[in-house]
Amino acid sequence: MFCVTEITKIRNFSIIAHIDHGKSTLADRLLEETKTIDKRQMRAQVLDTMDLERERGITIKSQAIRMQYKGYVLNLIDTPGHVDFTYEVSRALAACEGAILIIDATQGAEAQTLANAHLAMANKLKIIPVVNKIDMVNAEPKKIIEEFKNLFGFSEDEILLASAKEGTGIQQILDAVVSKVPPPSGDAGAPLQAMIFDSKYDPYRGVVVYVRVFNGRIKKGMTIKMMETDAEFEVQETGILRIDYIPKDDLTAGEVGYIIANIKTLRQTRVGDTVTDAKNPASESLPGYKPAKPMVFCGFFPVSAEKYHELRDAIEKLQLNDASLFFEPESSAALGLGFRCGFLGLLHLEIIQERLEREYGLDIIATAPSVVYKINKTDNTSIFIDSPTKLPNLAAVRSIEEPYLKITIFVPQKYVGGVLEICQDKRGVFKNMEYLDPTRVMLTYELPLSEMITEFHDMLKSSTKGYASMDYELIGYRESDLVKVDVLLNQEPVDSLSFIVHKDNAFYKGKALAEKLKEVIPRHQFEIPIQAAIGNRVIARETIPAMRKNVLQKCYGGDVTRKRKLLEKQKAGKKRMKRIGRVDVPQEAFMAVLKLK
Amino acid sequence: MSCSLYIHIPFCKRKCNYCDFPSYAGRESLVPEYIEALKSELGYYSSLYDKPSVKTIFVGGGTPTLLPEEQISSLFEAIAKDFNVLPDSEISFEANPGTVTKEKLKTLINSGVNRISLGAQTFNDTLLKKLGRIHLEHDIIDAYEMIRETGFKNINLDLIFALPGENINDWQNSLVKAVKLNPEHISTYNLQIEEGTPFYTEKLEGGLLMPEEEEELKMYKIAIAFLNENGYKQYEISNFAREGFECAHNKAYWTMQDYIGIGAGAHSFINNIRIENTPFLEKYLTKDFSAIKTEHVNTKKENMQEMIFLGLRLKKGFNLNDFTRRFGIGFREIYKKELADLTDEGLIEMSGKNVRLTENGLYLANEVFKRFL
Repeated sequence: MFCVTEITKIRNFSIIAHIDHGKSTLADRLLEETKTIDKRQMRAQVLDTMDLERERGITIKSQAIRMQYKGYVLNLIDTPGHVDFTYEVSRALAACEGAILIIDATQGAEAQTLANAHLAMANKLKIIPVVNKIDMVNAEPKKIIEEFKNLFGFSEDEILLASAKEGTGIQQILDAVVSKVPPPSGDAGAPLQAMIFDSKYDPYRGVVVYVRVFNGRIKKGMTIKMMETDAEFEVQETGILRIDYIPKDDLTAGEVGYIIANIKTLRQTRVGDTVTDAKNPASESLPGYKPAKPMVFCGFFPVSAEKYHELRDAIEKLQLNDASLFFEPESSAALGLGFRCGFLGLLHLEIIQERLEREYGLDIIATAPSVVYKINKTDNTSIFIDSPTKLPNLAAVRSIEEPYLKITIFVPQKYVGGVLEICQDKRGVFKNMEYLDPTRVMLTYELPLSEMITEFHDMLKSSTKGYASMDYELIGYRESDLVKVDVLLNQEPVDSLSFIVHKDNAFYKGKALAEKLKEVIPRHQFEIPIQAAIGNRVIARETIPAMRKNVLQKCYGGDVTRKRKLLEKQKAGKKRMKRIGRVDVPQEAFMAVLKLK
Repeated sequence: MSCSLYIHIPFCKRKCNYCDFPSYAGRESLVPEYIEALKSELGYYSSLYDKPSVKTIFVGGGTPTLLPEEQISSLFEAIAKDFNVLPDSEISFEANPGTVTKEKLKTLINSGVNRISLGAQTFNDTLLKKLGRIHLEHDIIDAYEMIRETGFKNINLDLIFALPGENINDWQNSLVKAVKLNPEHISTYNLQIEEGTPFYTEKLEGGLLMPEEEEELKMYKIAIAFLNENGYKQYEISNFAREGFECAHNKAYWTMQDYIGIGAGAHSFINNIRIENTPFLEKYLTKDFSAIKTEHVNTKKENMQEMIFLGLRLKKGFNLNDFTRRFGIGFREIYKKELADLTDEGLIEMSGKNVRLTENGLYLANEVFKRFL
């Protein structure tokens, strides 16, 4: 069945879509239709393997699977479904010659439809447009066809209609993949060039590297070299990806498969890197490689200090499977020893935090996420800081720059006003407004990343009743008038509550944070003053009154167990808090700065 | 063995909006069967512990006064048959003002009951309705007088404060009216909104106007001061009594003495084992007494903790010698730091050989108890 495949019989493709437009369901149908797995094995959305992915409905890692259809080999490479992972998506697309572009017939094109389509076009992929969910009562396929025509210039007859849920239109899609997606080009005789589009850590076999071979051949026994990291390994096994790993003697130009080569850490197999033959290396690596660069940083601290080593072990284990996770030890005067961690984005951060808590049972305090600021000093040197606490003495600072994004927002026309207001509030610079059709608008703004990692998403969602979608890309650093606000709790400065903010918002944010802290920090047996200050100047002050009464006055009679449980519950609540000086501070307090409207 | 005895009657005319105790409305048809089950359980314990001696009995609910006279007397006959009820025992019976009749009271007195605990809760009709009680203020007064006339010399009134919509004035008014009736004992509870009750839902939906912490504290302080002025000495966090009328049954709970609980949802503490009966009526009625009980054998540590957090509920606290006698090790040796910290914080103090809560400690009792867990 898996004999040598002629390169002309191979089709490598992806499915791209906005979240919830039916990508995973379509993938499932393709696997069924090609009998790659039978219905019995089918769990809904086979390709999302992590529990978290299934729960959140978002694919985090790329996946690949090989199908047989009418004598052709079809390699489906699934892509991560969130804007935090744009680079991973671009590499997965670079491994393909074609892409199925889905638009939900009830929703229309969204920001990520456009962003992903542009990525696919940049990679010169043949795009097969599909209108999905045509079975829904509120489907408007005609309108979507118009959108495909207007936004991307497709002609009506190339647009396919499908319902992945009902299984209609699936054959037509497969046929289109065969007939329209070009076969890979490549020379099996040339020096090896294979691009890594993902890798996984397997506790028994080490790192399993997913590659697309562009030129040459890779087989067992060969010594390979990663062109970016210079690391060399001896190949122990090659094979193709079905639901399991299926060993195959070699992988040749045009093929998609896996390599096992006794690789100990994911850091040596970076997404986008080129694998070549150590003895007969290719003259250059494949284009497009970028080192993973964390955009958002936060501190993770164990609630109880003795869990520090456990936390380190857990982060190290997660890093085995996540090359874009960065960490280094951090020491906070208030929170003790912990780790400064870097992430691709907020979702990435949340996922790691959740996994540490769920999979490793750790109680951790996560501090508010920060972007990386560029500090231009008076001595004409510049440094990058990933935490407000690292800001040098202001006398030594000439200016501060912060990362800016270009964001694209798709929104129904009637909500435009609200979105403009939010973007304006968040220091956005208006760039463009374009009508996609008479009812929908595409807005383009430039906006500081630091504003995006606060309530931006939630505000956007609630002001547009969930109808807005967005995408963003980093466009570089810009100078801003920024100040650091410090927080004092019970007269003690708490470094991990400091934040950097635009000068114009400092007073208001300081006050709002003090108010919020008053709300989330429980009463103690003593009064707790809260102050926000810029340098020595106090800009806001609140007081948490002392707890006056906490006594069970209820007749549980002989039910002592219940009395005990009540006390234990109160005590457990306190245990999850971090003690700073004499004050027990809950996790929410550290995130409070993000929740300020 | 000698112990206290609690009997639970899980029937009510209607369930109050704040109540999360095992009690069921509209299930009165099960009463005869339930009384039979209670008798079986009495027999079960009687043979298990060879007809134990009983110092105090408390029949609580639910609404025990919902039971018909013949059921009441047959229940007490069964108790007398299976247990050795000591002379001068305190025998309490809970009464709901809406269900008290002369006949029932006579039956109770003839059955040996010598203390009535009347669930007044509040003397404000609006609040009584809000709570979902089946009686009004005048019913409390009528019931109280009937109880006295029948010949009871020991009456308790249960009061609840910090009710939704209740202000300081309302509470003061309730206290004045309670004292005016001149009962021997008064309990004052602070309303807790418990999950699963109608009040809980209402509170979530924002429909309950609850007093602030500061207001609750004020109400509590008023109760302590006012009852004290009127000759009711506070002897426990929620309990006040005239000289010589402290509730012996409840004191057995707080001093870690053995007690047997009979009935659905009843709790026992026997030989350092805490036992809970199923709260579910149907399950209880199977009379499969080994199957309906969950047991927990207290560790020595748990016993110590309980002696502390129950003992400290009493105004006089617990006695260090009692602690040493029970556990073979001194309290100060184990809880040196806690004792020092809490003393520093002004929450507990020594009084002779007793450790007890200070006034501030009384208001923050849970904060104190937690330190020992």
